Order: sequence, then C-alpha cells, then structure tokens
Amino acid sequence: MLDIRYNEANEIAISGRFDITQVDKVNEFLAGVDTNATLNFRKLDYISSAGMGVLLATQKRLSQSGHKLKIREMNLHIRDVFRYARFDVIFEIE
Amino acid sequence: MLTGSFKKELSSLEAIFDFVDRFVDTHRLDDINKFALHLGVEELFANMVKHNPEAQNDIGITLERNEHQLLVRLVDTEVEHFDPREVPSPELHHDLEQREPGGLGLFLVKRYFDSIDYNYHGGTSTVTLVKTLEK
Repeated sequence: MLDIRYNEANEIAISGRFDITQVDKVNEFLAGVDTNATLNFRKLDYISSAGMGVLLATQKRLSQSGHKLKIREMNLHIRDVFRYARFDVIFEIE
Repeated sequence: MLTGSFKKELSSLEAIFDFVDRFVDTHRLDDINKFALHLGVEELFANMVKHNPEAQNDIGITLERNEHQLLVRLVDTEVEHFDPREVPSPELHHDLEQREPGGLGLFLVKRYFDSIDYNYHGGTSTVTLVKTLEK
C-alpha cells in the first residue's frame, strides 16, 4: 500500500510501502513534475530497487532541464539503503 | 519455520509482505531485520516473475530462524536456469546521466544478507539467503 500526494508544504509526500507493485502509480504522479520538487518520506516505511529506479529515472529526466528532486525526512532504514546504492550522492537529502 | 506458496505474479506481493510480517511478529525481529526480509523476498520473487514468466507454478517461500541466523528460501519449479549470483553489480560510481537501475535489487540483497546460495536441479531453482543475527 502506498499513498502519494502534495502536503500542506507543497512537498510530495509518499507514505507506506514503495514496492514494485506501486511503480506505475508513482510514475504517473511524478510524470506531472517538471521543475524542482521536494519529496517527503516521513511516512515512507520501505522502498525496494523498483521504487528507487523510479526516483532515479525522474531525477535523470529533471536534470535534463536543470531541475532536481530533493528528499526530506527519511527514516534510518531508507537512509541506509540509499547510502548502499550511492543514491545519497544523486539526491540532495535533508 | 514458516512456509507459504504464492501465485507467480507481482500482485502476490501484498500477501507475501503479510506473510513476512507474521514471521517478524512471531520472532520479535527488529525493524532492520524486517526491512531486510521485505527487501530480500521482494527482489528474489520479482526476479523469478520477470525471468520465467511463462512458468505458472506457485513459488514456495520458507522463512526460518535459528539461534544465530535468519534463512529465506524461494523455490521456483519448471523454470530455466537463472542464477541471481551471476547478475553483474551496477556501476554505483557513475554520474547521474550514466546511472542505470539494472542489477540494483540483487546488489542490495547481497548487501543485506551474508550469503546467497543457488541450486538448480530438475528444472527447479532454489535460492537461499542467510543473514546472521547480531547479538
């Protein structure tokens, strides 16, 4: 289960579990993003390589127009998996 | 030990995560081990679905804990040989433009588990992950 929506701070809040079955849902939402954006992971419990692939593809697409995704409020487990995959050098993480 | 059998399609993952959570609750595993089990099971299951989609048999999953280790075993029958250990690791040091997601899943599995073993016999693939529990 996963939910993705803009929060009050105009960040894209992703909550729940970002597994391979949620790829289309997140892709569809992020396809509408064409400028700098912040993802809020405060309520995201889990992400797999499939979810990370969606974020990577979005970051690559945005970088072509000089924009980027920033990520805030990751839990420790997701911070670890980002570090192992060296995603911490691809994304600005707060 | 907990064993289950799941239809070979990605929509089974919801039930598979529930299955893993039951095991986590029974053995009172911490969040780090729960994350590792979710990741290990999802990545292996998704690979089995992707690499032998024509095979319709269920995939068997066994989770086991002994004093010092967690064990995850997935069994896929009537399939072609596919050894996940042979998947090359992604180039993690490339610039953003050159980074590709391929191979990341199994790379992460190897990072979270101490060993990954593969056995192929009579058309049956068995993948076993072992993770040593910290004291």
